[in-house]
Amino acid sequence: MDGFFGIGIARKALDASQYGMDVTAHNIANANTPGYSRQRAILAAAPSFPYPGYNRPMLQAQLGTGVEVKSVERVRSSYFDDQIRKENQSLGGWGVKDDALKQVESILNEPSDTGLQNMMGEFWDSWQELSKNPESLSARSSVIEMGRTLASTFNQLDAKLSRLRDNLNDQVSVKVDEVNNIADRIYALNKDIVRIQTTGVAPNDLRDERDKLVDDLSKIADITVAEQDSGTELIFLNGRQLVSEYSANHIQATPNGLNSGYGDVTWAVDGSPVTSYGGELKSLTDTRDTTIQKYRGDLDTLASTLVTEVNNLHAAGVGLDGTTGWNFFAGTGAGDIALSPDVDDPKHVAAATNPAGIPGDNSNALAIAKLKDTLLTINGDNVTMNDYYRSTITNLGIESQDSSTMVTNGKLYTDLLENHRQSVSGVSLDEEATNMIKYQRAYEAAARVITMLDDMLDTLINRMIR
Amino acid sequence: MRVTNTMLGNTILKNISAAYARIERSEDQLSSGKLYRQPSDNPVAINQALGIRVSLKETDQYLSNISDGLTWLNTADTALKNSTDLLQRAKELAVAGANGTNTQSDLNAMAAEVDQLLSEMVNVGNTNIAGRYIFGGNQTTIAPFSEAGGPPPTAINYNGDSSAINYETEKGVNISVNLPGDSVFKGSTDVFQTLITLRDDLLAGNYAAVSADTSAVDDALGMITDAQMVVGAKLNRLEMTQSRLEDDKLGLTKALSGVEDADLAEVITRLKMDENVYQAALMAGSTAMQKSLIDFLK
Repeated sequence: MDGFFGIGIARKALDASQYGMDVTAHNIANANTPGYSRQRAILAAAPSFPYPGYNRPMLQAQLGTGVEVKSVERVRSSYFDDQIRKENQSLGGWGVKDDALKQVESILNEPSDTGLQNMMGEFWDSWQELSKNPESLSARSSVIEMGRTLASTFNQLDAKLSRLRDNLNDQVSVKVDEVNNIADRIYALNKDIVRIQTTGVAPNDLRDERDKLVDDLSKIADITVAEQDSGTELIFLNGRQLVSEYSANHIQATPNGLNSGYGDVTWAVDGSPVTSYGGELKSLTDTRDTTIQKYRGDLDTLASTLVTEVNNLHAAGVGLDGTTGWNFFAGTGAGDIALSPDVDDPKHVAAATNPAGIPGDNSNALAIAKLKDTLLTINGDNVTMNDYYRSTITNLGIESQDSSTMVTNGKLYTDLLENHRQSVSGVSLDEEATNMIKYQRAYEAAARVITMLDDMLDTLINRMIR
Repeated sequence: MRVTNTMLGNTILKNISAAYARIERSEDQLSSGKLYRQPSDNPVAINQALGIRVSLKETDQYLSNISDGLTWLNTADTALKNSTDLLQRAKELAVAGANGTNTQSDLNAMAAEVDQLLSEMVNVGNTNIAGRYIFGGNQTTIAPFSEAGGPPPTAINYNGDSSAINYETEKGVNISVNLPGDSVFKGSTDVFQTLITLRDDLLAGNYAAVSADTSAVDDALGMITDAQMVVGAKLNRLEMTQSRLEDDKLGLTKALSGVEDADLAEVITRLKMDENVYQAALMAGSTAMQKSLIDFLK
């Protein structure tokens, strides 16, 4: 036991307080950093002296040797991480679908005076007007114009829905790139973490960064995570390693010729398809290939029914010039419905049924006008064209409302989970202020101990022997 | 539960933006006057609204059809009334002409007037609306009655057909708005032939025949009156349908407004409440976020 032993203890205390203050400062500095977990310095009593042994000095008792900083650890619960990631991928998926459905809604733009329903109404009305003026060329021209407007409304809706699919496909590529980018970064972080961890130091901030990346990735795709003892985190997608110990496996969007050249998600290394991938990515491809196609299909069915039914009646009718057999519409679906070249000559518009082509004969115009109330078999249902379209809009409304609800609920749940996580890992400024005072006081006290010991040594060295 | 500054911040932000979103919604309802922006806001209501809009549009078209039909029938009614007047005059002439005290020159003068009546009657038969002949059946572009022989004409030919012109006046209901001239003027009695015979009999000074023509003119009058009654009945029916459809339209407009339109009083009240909540959230946020232990440390 020498006289400087106490100074050594106090110096350690100064060091520890300084270290604690540094950790506190780091916490405060990162109070608003996304993904940051608060850290704390783990202080422990240094091993006591003397150690047991044959040649140990004979002392009355073991004496403490002060404090040491064992480690700095981050406070985090992997339980919430798992839950948040699971919820993230479902929320991400619904979010994409909800966005797309809202866009479909604004494309179809119902109810409004410019929507398809109103255009169909105007078209039927124009036939009514023709039935009242069958001799008139101008009433015929107006039927033709309304037909042209209706056809181009169909064309535009179809084109807009197609463009929406194109956009979604672009997003698929973007998200695929994002997945690859994140995988690369996780792989790089894995290497750093392992390297630092083997030196016995905890790479807390790198782990935070990696957790944040995994969080982001979990929004895009349904991934599973397995951490190795070495500190490497393996990421699995559809049962295959996206990030392995040795590399980051990339995925790609392979254009599928059978699906308008839209990308299928495949593994870059061998081109085999990723069949189940969840999250935003899955929702993007599903919405692109199923949801929007369904509404396009509904419009196609409606357009082709319109073409067939109007043409059936029209071809059987007689024009103002006594000719017959003319089509009114051409095309087979919403994308290509157009006015038939047969009615380039307004005289060919068949308002009459009498083959003599009598000018006042309006019976065919009346029959075509009544198509709007005719029950037709459309997609197996016995409905009018109006009802069919109306049920399409209603279904769209319900589906879109559903997805909004899912997004709202998912958001509430992830917010709740995020709050729980923050409750564990977040930085509390009050807490840090308390720690600050704690360390400050401890530092002051340790410094005081040194002063006191200095005084004692002063007595011993300068005052005892004169 | 340990509460951190980020949690507090997140919660405050969430509440403030939720309150703000509600204000935005109410503002939108106020400025657009519509309850819903998209079908997903309320699919059931939008479904109803779409249905009502279709009915409303149809009703408008039917009302326009009825109004046009009324024009046709009213014109026909006036024309028939004119022809009744003409036949009344012819009857007076026939009754007067049957009197043996008339000299041949008196009869000739009467015959000349009957000729005028005849050509007037042809004009009535050729009544048109903006160039469309209403008594020609479906042959609306050519005058249905034309004079033949003479002058003075010895016969009146019918150039139309006997087809009806139908208007749809409500869902699935057709009403013919025309009376083909062959049944009106050349039905059980030929109005024109009756006048021609009367004229010829007057010119021939055949008192007995002129007397017999009186009853033929009576028959013609009866026939025209029958046609007038048919027109009157149709007018009646159309007017009834019209007033019913106008009631429907009013009801549909109200229903549509009930489904689609925002109740201003309600929206404004809600907006005020939302604004209060927003204010409160802002205030709570600003107080809670300002203070921490740091503020009290020296």
